[in-house]
Amino acid sequence: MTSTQSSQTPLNHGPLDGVKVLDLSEDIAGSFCGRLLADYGADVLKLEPPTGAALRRMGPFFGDDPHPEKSLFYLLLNLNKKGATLNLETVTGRNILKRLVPHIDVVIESYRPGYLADLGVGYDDLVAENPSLIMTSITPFGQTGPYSQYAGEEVVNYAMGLIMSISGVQGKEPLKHGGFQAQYEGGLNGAAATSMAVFMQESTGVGQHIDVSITECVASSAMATQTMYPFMGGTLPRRPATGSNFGHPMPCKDGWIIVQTGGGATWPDIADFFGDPQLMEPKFAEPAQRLRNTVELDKVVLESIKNRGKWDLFTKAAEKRMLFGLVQTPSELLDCPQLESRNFYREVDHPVIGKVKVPAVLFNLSLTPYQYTGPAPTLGQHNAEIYVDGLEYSREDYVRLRQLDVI
Amino acid sequence: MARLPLEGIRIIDSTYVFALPYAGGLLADLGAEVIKVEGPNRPDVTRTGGYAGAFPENDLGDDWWNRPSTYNLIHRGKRSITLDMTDERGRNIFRELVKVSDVVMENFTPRVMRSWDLDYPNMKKLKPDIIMVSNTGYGHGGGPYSSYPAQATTQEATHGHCWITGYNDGGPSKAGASFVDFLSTWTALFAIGSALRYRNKTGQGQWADLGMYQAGVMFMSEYILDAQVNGREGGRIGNRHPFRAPQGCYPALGKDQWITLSVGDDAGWAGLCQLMGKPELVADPEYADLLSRQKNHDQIDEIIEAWTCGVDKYELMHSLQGMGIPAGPVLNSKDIHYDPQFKSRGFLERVDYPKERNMGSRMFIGRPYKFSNSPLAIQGPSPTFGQHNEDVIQGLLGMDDASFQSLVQDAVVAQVPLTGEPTPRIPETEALERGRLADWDPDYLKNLGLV
Repeated sequence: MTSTQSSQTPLNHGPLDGVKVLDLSEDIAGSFCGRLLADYGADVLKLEPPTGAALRRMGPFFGDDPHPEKSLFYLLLNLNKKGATLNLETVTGRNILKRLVPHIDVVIESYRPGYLADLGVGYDDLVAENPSLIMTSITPFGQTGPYSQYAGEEVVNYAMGLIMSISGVQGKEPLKHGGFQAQYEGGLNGAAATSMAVFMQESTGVGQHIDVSITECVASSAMATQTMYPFMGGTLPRRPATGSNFGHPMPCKDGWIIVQTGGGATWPDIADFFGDPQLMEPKFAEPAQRLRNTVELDKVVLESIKNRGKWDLFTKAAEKRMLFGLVQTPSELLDCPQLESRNFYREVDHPVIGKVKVPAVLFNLSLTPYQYTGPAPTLGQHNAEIYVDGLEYSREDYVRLRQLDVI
Repeated sequence: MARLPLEGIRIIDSTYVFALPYAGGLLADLGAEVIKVEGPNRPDVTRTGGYAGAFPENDLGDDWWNRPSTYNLIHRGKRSITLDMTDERGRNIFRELVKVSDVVMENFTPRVMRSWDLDYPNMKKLKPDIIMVSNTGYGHGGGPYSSYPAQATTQEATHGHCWITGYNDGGPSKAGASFVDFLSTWTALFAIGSALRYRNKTGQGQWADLGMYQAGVMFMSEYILDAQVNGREGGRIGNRHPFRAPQGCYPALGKDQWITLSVGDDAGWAGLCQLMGKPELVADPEYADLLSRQKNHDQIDEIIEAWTCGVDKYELMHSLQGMGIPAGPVLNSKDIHYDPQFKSRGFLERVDYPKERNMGSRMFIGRPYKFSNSPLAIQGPSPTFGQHNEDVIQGLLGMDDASFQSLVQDAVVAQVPLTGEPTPRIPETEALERGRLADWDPDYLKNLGLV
């Protein structure tokens, strides 16, 4: 496999080869779920409203041009999919969806719970058309419960998902993770759950309605925090504003680094890495003492790295088998030799945007590796293939459907 | 009859720390038989030291290695055997186990599995259709960092996450705990579900080679594209949103109580002003349009804060949501156990331990998805160290009694770890004073209905 695979690659034989998926989602979470299934071989059709999925209006945009075909978010989360338009707010659109469903295995959606059911195309309606259907619904709070109709946003998922209570520093407000991690987490969990359901569907003929809660995804990553309460009645704090640099990003000459104890390195190794003999004094060298002298410890280590470069420190830490991290920037990640060795990126040739290098491979597989099969679809790109070739609408009706705002 | 997706699937979980062990627990929830393998000299770090978490009633008890909260959460529903893999007999039992299993998960460094002839090519000789999942910090292969030691706590920096996380005016920051571990947890589930499906279809197994670094970078994708095509390096905006405003985390009534909210349209702004009792701000030119709200975010934060700090966080959520504004309180490890949404969905599941474990009943995080036709649930408590040695080695693999006893004799198997120390407990009140705990509820068992 090479990083120059083009869309000429003949057939995708990923582990989900032959699984047919309709992706009705307009957001990050559902689109990422669909992309992961597509990355590993499923035939995924993005079905979006004739006005385009909401993600097309979300930046960053290529050249800061907010054109519907230039959303980089849309590009990256819809890689390897085909795309068609369908207006589910019309009776005709809903009938078309019902005609498609018998031919597919999985529907992904992320609308507010009840929205599709109110239109007559909820899980119960669609399963009547295909008894072994899997529907994967990814929403902020899940399909059930008193908050199921509440509106979600990344920051809200993070707050209610327990993680913010331990993130940030004391004396300041709790802090969310940067970017849209919760939405990605929802997508990844959606894909994981769907893969299990597909495995079961093919062995038993039983489908599922999978109900993923993004807030619960976030809370699942707080597993070391949650149990403090039922085991001992405790609530964990955020880190203190001072004396907590060790184990957190610390400024050096040209950026930030993190050092943790453990790994293959002993304390003398770590002391030697920093190069200040004070670190071998008992107040730092003994773990219990170290915990009590954190403010002083921070001072010593910060002083010892302030004139040193992060890459030099990285190499040195690796020699000493230390647990070490340096804060990389997006550009550095783009040029990372390790990611190169893992064949992580793919060059995508998008009809409007042109060539871009896209993060592609979530994990490496020996027999059926990730394959790039095509860029994100332009709006309605595969309409004719789906509606004329597939559902056998006449060319005249196909044109009518567009003019009637169905597709 | 309702069944679970992974019924009949046997998984060897030869993994340590958080990422894949947690995947093992979730695989057991899905119906798999998961056999955790540890060395008598190498108990999982979630049993010992700082990763163990809490102990029941803050008491180490007699068998402290079976009692830590983290161990118990991520090893729920598994079987446990111990095998000294540095002994040829231990490795041979492992090989026999591979022959009757569907999936093997491991997270040793690449060098170790090769030196034991248990890398994928060798694994495949033992069981041609085996599915093997390896998880390492940077992934296998010839890359420059592949042999570097790594752990989620430091990888958050390296995979770029800290670059985008932090207060508006501050440097890069970490958030949560061991973030990227969980990305590997869920990636492993996805890899296993997909590989099992493929094996069903074709009869072929394969090797999934996970690098946590890679999964972490995947979650940075839009920043990488923005840097590449627009030359923009992203950075930190605290709790704000790239285009919605106002958005943030504001103090609510009480000590360390917080509410988050996010306004992205005029109706939301009007609703917020009404709730704050400041209808005049709706049309105030400083705030009236979407762009001015972004520009005057600092001022708006002060106005919001002055309102929220006197109101209960749940009351704030309900009234804001009533206006259609995304909002929710910051929930801590206590709150989550009493929140109506989490309760209604049964997200936290109760596990009752057999009397002899002296663990009582505890609540644990379940999983963030429900299946309408499969009753996914925690299948039982975590096993004690080596609890299923005889069941598996003699029962499943058919070893005779004399051979098994000699393994016990030579500590190739054990039911008590031969190394490892618990971190001494600190009394709760002292932990509060030293800031190790933010709060302590001495009546938690009663309040949770666990007594």
